[in-house]
Amino acid sequence: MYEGLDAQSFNNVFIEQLDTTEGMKKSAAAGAAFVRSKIREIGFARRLLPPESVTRVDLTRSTDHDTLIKIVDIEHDSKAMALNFASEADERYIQGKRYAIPFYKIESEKFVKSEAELLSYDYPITKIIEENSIKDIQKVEDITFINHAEAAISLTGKRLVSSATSVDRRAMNSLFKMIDADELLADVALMNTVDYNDYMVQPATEIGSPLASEITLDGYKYQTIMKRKLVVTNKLGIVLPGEVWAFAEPAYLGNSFILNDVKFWIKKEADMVIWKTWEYVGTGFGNIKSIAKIELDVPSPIPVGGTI
Amino acid sequence: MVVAVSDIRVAPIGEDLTKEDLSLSVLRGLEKMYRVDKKIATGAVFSKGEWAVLDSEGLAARPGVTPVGGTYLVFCGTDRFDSYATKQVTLIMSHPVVVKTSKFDTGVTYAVGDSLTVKDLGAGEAFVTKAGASEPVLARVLEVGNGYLVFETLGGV
Repeated sequence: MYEGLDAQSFNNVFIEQLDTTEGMKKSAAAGAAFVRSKIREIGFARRLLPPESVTRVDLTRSTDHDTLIKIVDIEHDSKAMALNFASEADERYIQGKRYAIPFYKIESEKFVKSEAELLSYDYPITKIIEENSIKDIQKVEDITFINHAEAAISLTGKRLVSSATSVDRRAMNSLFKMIDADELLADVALMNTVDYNDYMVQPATEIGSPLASEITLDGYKYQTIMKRKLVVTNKLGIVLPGEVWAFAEPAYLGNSFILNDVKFWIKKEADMVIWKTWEYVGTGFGNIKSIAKIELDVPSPIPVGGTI
Repeated sequence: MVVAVSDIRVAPIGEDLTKEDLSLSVLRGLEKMYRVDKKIATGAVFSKGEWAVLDSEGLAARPGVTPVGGTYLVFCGTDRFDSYATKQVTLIMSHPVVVKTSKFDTGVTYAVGDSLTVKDLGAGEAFVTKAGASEPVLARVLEVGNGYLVFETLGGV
């Protein structure tokens, strides 16, 4: 409904719409649709463990408080054995394991702006939403994801510290092996842009002349490294320099849920426009062996002077 | 207090859920063993793989420091919802079974054929341990594994 308008006209129409109940509903719906699509594209957590949409009936209440959890089953053990014809196998009384994924809310700040000031903007209101709400929400999702991953490797010990000063194939191999050794398969690697840049300066003696030439011209343009998917993030505050993560594919990793959908709320009171965005999500790694991290001794990504 | 899931099984979880649960696996005798519910003595709690005795009122109680013949494997502990509801614990009674368990006295070295008994080991533990000369024998070691024992219970003791 906003297509074909310049930014100022857009803002004008947007504010006028908010003067009616119907218009406010339309604005909220448009905002929610926008938020959904952008979040799907931006957060790396959602690429590594795509969220599944759930409703209230899929969740369980606690007897102690008013929050919700989703209980997820873990595949039970089983095995086969070689036997003589007259013998019989061991018995197993099946007792499955489960774990609970608690839900929590991620909410943007509550943005307030006067309609007159809003009109003074040369870009549409959706840009403000994009630059504030969405970045904040997807960042919190990513932080929670990495926090849970840190908790997993602290239990399994799948954290390798290397004196190497940049990411190379040897480091990646060591990383992937930590997962592959447990009858799993490392499916995706996560690194930040700085380490990704380092990966691209490997010498031709390491990666071969054709690839080195190609990288020099066009950069590393493949979506995989050593047959594993590659996710690169610019969030160096979450995926720290020198830290490269590996994860198994989602089916062997864990679960991520979003309750209902992202919600966008907006209202106009007198001349003030107020809006915020929130969602209820839950993420958990049921198989903590499916996560590994390597920590390299990389120099600070921000040169502080001196010589190279 | 009843909780839906133990804390270590709430994400981020504090347990490797892919690891085999060795607390109690009945390898032989599942179909024929007697699974019997017994009312729980006041204050007694049991987890799967522990053992219980019957007190003078026939209630399931924690084993004492002196082993007795009437000591039974706990098949389902008091940490389950059904046990909360019934105030009963499920015991394996009166039939020999072959069991694999990580719940044993780890302060003792075992060999295949060792006789086992059950008594209070201190620190709230009441597991199988090597039987002394005058103590009732409740089980016999069949395999000494890495972190587990396989033994056969001697039914009808």
